[in-house]
Amino acid sequence: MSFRLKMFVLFPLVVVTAVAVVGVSVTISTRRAFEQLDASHTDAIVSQFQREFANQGQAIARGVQDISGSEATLNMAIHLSARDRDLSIYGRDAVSVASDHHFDFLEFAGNDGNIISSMQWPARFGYKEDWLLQRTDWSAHDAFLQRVDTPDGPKLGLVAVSVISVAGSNLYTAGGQRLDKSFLSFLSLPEGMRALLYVNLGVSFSAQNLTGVDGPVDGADRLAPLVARELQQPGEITTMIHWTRRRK
Amino acid sequence: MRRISFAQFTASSLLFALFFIALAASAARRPRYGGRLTIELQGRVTSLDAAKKQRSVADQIAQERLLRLIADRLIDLDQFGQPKSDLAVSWQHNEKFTRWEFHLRQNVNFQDATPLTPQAIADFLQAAHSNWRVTGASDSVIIESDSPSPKMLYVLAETRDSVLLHKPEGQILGTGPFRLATWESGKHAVFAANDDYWGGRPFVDSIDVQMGSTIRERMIDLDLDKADIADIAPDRARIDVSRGVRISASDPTELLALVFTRSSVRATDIRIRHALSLAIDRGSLVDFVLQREGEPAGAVLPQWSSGYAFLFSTTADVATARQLASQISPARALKLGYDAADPTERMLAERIAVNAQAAGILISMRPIPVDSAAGATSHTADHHLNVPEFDARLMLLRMPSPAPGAALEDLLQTLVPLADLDSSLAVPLDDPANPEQLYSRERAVTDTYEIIPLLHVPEVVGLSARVRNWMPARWGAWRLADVWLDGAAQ
Repeated sequence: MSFRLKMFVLFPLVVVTAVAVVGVSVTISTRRAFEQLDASHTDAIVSQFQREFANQGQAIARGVQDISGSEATLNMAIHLSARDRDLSIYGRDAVSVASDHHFDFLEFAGNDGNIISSMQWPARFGYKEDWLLQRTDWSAHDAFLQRVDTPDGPKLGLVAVSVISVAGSNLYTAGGQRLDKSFLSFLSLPEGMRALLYVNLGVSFSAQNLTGVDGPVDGADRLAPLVARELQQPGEITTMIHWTRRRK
Repeated sequence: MRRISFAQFTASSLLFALFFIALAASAARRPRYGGRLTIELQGRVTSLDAAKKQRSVADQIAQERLLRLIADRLIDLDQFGQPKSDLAVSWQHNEKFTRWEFHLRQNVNFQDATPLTPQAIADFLQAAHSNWRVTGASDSVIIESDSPSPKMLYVLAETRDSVLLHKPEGQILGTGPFRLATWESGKHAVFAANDDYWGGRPFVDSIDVQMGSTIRERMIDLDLDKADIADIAPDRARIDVSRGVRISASDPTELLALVFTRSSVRATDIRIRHALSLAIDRGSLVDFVLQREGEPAGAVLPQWSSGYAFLFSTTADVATARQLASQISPARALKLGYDAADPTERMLAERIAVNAQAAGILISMRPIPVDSAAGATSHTADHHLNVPEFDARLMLLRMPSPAPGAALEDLLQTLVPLADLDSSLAVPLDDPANPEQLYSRERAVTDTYEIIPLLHVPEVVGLSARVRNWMPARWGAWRLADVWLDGAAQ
């Protein structure tokens, strides 16, 4: 093979190889950069969602504290600690107080956990809310997710509890908001982000329990594996779901 | 001339001053004639003809109140529920109670000055009671019946036997303390004092009656002194008292009961009905829903009327209820109907559903549309209430009489055809004055659990500060001829 021929073959090969190496390295570094950017963007919007969620929780906790600290509630607590107490006069209080504070759920319960007044289910007075007695120091807890019984079946609520104690007798105030599409609409989310809510009230995945700001979500079944993983291992999960066909 | 000392002058002046103050105080308390009494009723009265059915208990109560303004009966009831003379001044009966003779009050006229004759009364009663033979004598009325009528006096004391004169031009006249001056059916009526009333002229000049206003409207008008007397829902009474409203409550005269419909297929097993009766916490219904205006009911008649109601248990027993309910397989949800227009009834239905759920009985609540929800009154046994899609429904019934025998017979005549009960339970008692017979009849009815008594509820009214001498009968009958208004012009 002549030198000329060797040069003719080698030079393009070197050029092509160099271009390929540069192209691949640029592609890899660009992809990494985009992935990092995407990850940091995702982190940012997730943390923003969490902040918004925490803000809502704090607002609820403040509202419950306000109700619990009001003079009317204090009077109720004093009355409850009396020997000849009459709980029936407070039977309708929760409805009016919840309306003033824009709460979807509000209950007053006595020292034994028995409901004195319930906004979400007024007819349930006198029945026990066992979960209220499971913790002793409610003031150390922020708002939390809680299954709330209503006449229309159980609902999921972001709930806070406050306790006032008079003469050794506790008065529990538990209030909050229902987690549904209207709750999602209160969240201020960045452009390009949407929050979906899966209300876990059954034993298996139900597409009807997945909701967005506009109501039920199309293609909700694609989130079934994610929900199943979350149910098995509760915690924060990051995963990628190819939502549209073009990205498959 | 003897001079009066300064001390004597001062003492005599003080005495004079005290005398005039005492005189003024007694004058302020003395009944006054004049003024217009304004009444706002929950019910709507479409006719003053007692024979015409009213749509609801509230309408029935309103009609009775208006009828008592314009008409009298042969017999009235005193404060203790005992018969006393009204248009009849004396009476006698044979040993079998099949023939009664009533001697009439003399010189009584209808409000157009037409004399009240024995024959007019006989014609009126004959039209109202086809099973009687009523004849008018010179100064008496004779009533004969094939079967004994020992409770005749109580029957004649009921508002439906108010003696009325129907004029050809449609005018309705009575012999009562007021005459009808203005009539807008179901909306508004004005009654003017009957100056020639045989019992003496009533104190107020006129009574203005507004019908069918909402509870909110009635409360506002009471607060603003636009109404002197207004119907109040029993469950609001305590709130209104705390707001400073003057409240008057009768003894419990209304029965709220759960009535299983004849057409129900899901409640044919007595165990499910028994379980539901045991599951219901009647005490909580009274305390929380009615805000303590009422009594838990285990019997049809209230304790104050029968004297034996305490023998019927009103205590909830959830454990036994759960045990009974678990024996029924497959468990089927019962459909419970309630009056869609009545928020209190809805709340009661919700509480019953919660109680039932705790005992393992499923209940789905269904509002009954207003047109078919009319509560049965004692006189309006309305078979269309037997709405087929409901297994049971809440019903409010009113005692037509404070007399237990008359009241029980009347209530059972309404209830028995609605529930899947033997018609013999609606047959008149041999001796309605005998408590043992009344008890046995009530026990026979309640032991079927086709009818579950829940609550006895009073009639509650709010009064303005200027209403004086308000002394209704303990069972709620008003005596408006005796009422006078503080501050009314003499």
